[in-house]
Amino acid sequence: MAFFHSGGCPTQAFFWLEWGLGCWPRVSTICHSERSEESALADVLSPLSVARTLLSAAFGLEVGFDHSASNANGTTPLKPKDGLSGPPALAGGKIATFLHDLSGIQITGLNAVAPLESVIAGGETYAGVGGAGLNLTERMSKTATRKLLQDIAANGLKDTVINYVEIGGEKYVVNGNNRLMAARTLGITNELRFEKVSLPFRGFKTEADVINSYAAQFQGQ
Amino acid sequence: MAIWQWRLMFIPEEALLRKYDVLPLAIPQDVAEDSLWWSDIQPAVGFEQQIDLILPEATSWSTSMRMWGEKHGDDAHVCYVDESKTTVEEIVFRINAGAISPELVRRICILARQLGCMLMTAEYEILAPDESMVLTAINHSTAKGYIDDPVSTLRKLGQPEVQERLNYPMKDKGSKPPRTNE
Repeated sequence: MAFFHSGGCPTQAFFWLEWGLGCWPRVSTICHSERSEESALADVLSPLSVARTLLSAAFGLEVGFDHSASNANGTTPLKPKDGLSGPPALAGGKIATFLHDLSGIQITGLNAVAPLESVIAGGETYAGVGGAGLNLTERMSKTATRKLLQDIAANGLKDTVINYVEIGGEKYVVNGNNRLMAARTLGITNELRFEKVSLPFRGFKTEADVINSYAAQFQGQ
Repeated sequence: MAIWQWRLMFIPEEALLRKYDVLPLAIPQDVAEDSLWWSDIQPAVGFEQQIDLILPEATSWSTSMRMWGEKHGDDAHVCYVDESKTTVEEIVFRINAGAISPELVRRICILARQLGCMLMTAEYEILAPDESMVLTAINHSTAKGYIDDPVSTLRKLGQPEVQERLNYPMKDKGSKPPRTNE
């Protein structure tokens, strides 16, 4: 069993995560302390990050966050990209229903609900993020890049979320360099969505490393 | 590909020696990127089984590639000329600099030696398939720099000459970032 800190409503919550062979992860929450709206809003991204990790680990499903909607409305929508039937978009607390219906996972504390439009629009656009000014930070070989271009030209972008960080006004892509490069080449940057992330970003080997890192942090290890 | 992944490309030693009298420490970007390193030399049939022993095979997004490992962690891919996957074009491993596995490095080096290859980094340095040499190179890499000091590493990557190098694969495709709004 591992546990990690989270938040998401005017309370602070802890998630317990149990992994077992042959069964889905199960998550439950206990709200235990009062928090201000402002601090809760700041924390709302944390459980969503957890939800995303779980969705990715359990289903291979990637979701995008609409941080701008979160800041404006106090909500943080999630958008499942593809690969699963069900609602085309999830807003705020509906992630709990979605997870529970699919797998028995229960997450509470994600009670914010955002307008569906903002969910569908989730993430920043290429133009909105000032895409032409985004700095690349790594890339594949020319051969692999050619293969990627061929695949995207034939099948479209399978993962449209690009992660970037901002330092001193400059933006750097830390994940999705090659997809951005390909989208620029193919003229389909309008299909990309950009998520600003904070450093340190990743550097973890697996989702389990992320979870265990949280566990170690809050178990005082 | 993510910034914390460090790339190692297998280059047949024989192909290098055909271009250079002695093994170079580094090669120019255009030579590194545009040479068909495997056009005259092919790895032994079934060499992919050796990769199977290093990393679990993963679903490939390309019909002319095979992939192993985790997308954002340690991974490997082999590019083939076509969907028949009979003629190899490229063999690449990417090591997660955030969780460097000496055992993985050791196995990569063993495979490279078996295939008669040198290892080329993303900065076009040529390394002998020696574990200590590779580990030293990782520790001086941009990927590791990002893990240790992301801010200063990213600032360095923002320099125009670095961006030009990173955009090299698109050089012939006229793909400067579009300046118009969508």
